Amino acid sequence: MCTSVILKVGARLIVPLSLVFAMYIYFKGHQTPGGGFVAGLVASVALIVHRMSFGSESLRRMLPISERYFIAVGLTLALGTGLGAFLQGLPFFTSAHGYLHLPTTIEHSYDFEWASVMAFDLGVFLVVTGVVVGMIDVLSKEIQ
Amino acid sequence: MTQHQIVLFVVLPMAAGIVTTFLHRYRQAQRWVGAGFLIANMVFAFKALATVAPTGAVLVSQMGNWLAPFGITIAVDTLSALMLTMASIVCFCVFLYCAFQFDRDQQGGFFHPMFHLLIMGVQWSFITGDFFNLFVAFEIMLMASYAIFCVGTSKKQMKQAYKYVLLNLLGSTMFVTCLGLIYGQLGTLNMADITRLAMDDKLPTSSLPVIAMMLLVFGGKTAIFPLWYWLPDTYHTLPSAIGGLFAGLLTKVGAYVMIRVFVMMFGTSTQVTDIIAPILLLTAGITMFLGVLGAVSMHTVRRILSIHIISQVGYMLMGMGLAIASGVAPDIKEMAVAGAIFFIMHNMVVKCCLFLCGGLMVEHAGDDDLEKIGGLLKRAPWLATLFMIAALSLAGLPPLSGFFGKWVLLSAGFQSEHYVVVFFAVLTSLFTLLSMLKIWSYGFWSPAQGKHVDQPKKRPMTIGGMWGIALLVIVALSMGLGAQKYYSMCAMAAKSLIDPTNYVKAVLGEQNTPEYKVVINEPTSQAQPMHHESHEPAANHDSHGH
Repeated sequence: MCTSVILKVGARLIVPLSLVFAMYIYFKGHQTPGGGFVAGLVASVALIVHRMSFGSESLRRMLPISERYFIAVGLTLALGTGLGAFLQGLPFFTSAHGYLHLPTTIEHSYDFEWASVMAFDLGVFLVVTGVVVGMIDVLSKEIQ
Repeated sequence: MTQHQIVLFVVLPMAAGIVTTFLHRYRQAQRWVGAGFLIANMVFAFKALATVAPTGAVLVSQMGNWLAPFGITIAVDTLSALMLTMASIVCFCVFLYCAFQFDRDQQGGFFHPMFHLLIMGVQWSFITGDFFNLFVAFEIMLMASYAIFCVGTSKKQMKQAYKYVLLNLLGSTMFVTCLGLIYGQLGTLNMADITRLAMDDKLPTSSLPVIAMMLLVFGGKTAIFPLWYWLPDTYHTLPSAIGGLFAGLLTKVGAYVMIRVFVMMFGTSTQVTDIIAPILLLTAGITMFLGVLGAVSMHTVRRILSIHIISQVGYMLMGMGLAIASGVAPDIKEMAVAGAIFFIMHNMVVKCCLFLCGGLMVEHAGDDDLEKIGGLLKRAPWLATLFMIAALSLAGLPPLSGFFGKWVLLSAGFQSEHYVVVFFAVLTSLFTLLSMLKIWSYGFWSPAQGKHVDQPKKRPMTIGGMWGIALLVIVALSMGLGAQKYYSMCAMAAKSLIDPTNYVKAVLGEQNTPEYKVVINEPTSQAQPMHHESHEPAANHDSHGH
């Protein structure tokens, strides 16, 4: 790997920031633009930047399990979301939702709206991350 | 089977795909899990058939509880249930063959997950009631088939895989373009809703070219006359079992969709059928005849069988064409559709069975070039027997299954006085028999000359494959000997396709036939008020839902 110092230093800043940003997009996605797909892309960009600057062994240390399992776990989550409703005799994928009181300061609190579709979205997030990181990892190994 | 359970036809194969992904290092576990899921799948398919076939009921489930034209609908009517049953049997038999006959390399990697995801795509396209969803199901099916294409890769196979991928990408692009245009013109992609528009004669004239374009998309998938060039080149390079799976399922999904779209959805609109019906009848004749001529001229088992798929598609097209041709009495239309459905079912089973037989012939003789093999009758008498039954069913000798399918189609053709296509169908039948006898006499009957047949010490293990073939032959025999029972189910399916009122009511609900649909294409100012008032019920409908 021949990478510049600038990229290595930059990556230390970019990777954690993008991962946090990915989480932000994921939680924002229920009512406003965002969601699991975009968050997955942002997170995989962070992982790929890490791979570019520190090499694929470092990426392996960061993700100890193969990306293929990301895909399988993501699909399980997505399928499980649908099955939850199905087992209660409702149509597949019927969404449940509610509010979570999150005290932000002493007098204010924030009503966070949760929905069962968030688990589905987390599944999408994992599938997208797994596919993108896995594909780029394999392709760049071919090039080297 | 309750109505929400129909989603299991997607969930089960998907779950199988996920579980086998986790188990991808443990070949034995993958086999058992896969077999378990496929058997469960078969049981549910039979249960669904037992629920809908006697009464012609439609099982409908709205995904996520969103109401019909707005959300995604899945629905199982008699046609879907019949297709699901046959497909699940074919999948199970091919799986038996693959699990036992394929060596470590061929079953390695992610073969098992891809196999299950392919089945998921196929079954999904059988149950979906939404056009865009159909596209998604097609894509899943195709993605999995691209991956399976690389099983046990040879250089020849990879070269043909490129062709297959490129052509299917082109087809998918055209399909999604069609869907966009249809949504723009009709304002809906729900199949029942489009059917309702066609029944009320509300299709705008500008949507006709798009509908005709869809013929090109599905025709390419089904391999009809001018679009069949990709099929004979690609299928024969595959391992036989995979060829059998693709022949038994992928092209038949195309045929199923053509019935669903051109007979059920647009069959009631004369302005569509006036364009489509002559094209279907013309291509039917050419497809079946050219296909069988190709088969007669070929010299390897897999090539004969794969080019034969095309010729059989011709019969299905003939049924569809007769069903929507103008000036045909309704009962003859029903007969034609029932014949086409029967023929698709028969073909799924028999074609797949022949491919599997071809695979075992290779195991025994070391090759499937008819010039180089022979004497298999002595070496594998059971294989020869099963092959003979399947081959004669394909050719359509009574009392085997192919005979009844063809007989219904031909009598529908006679009664509606389409003599030319009937003539070609009979001629094709004769040539089919000829090409099957060619495999029989060169491969089984002639003196032994194969690489392995000369040295009989190395006998391959074929018992797993034989079970798969035997099961398919039993189903084919039951379709021949119990043809009346199968035919009455097909007739039930055909009745609800020719008059889709029940399907529409089941999906959209009795009272929910809102007049929100607008033809936005009128540029005149008069269209404006109509536009407004017609949007109101849609809003009501929406609030009614929650």
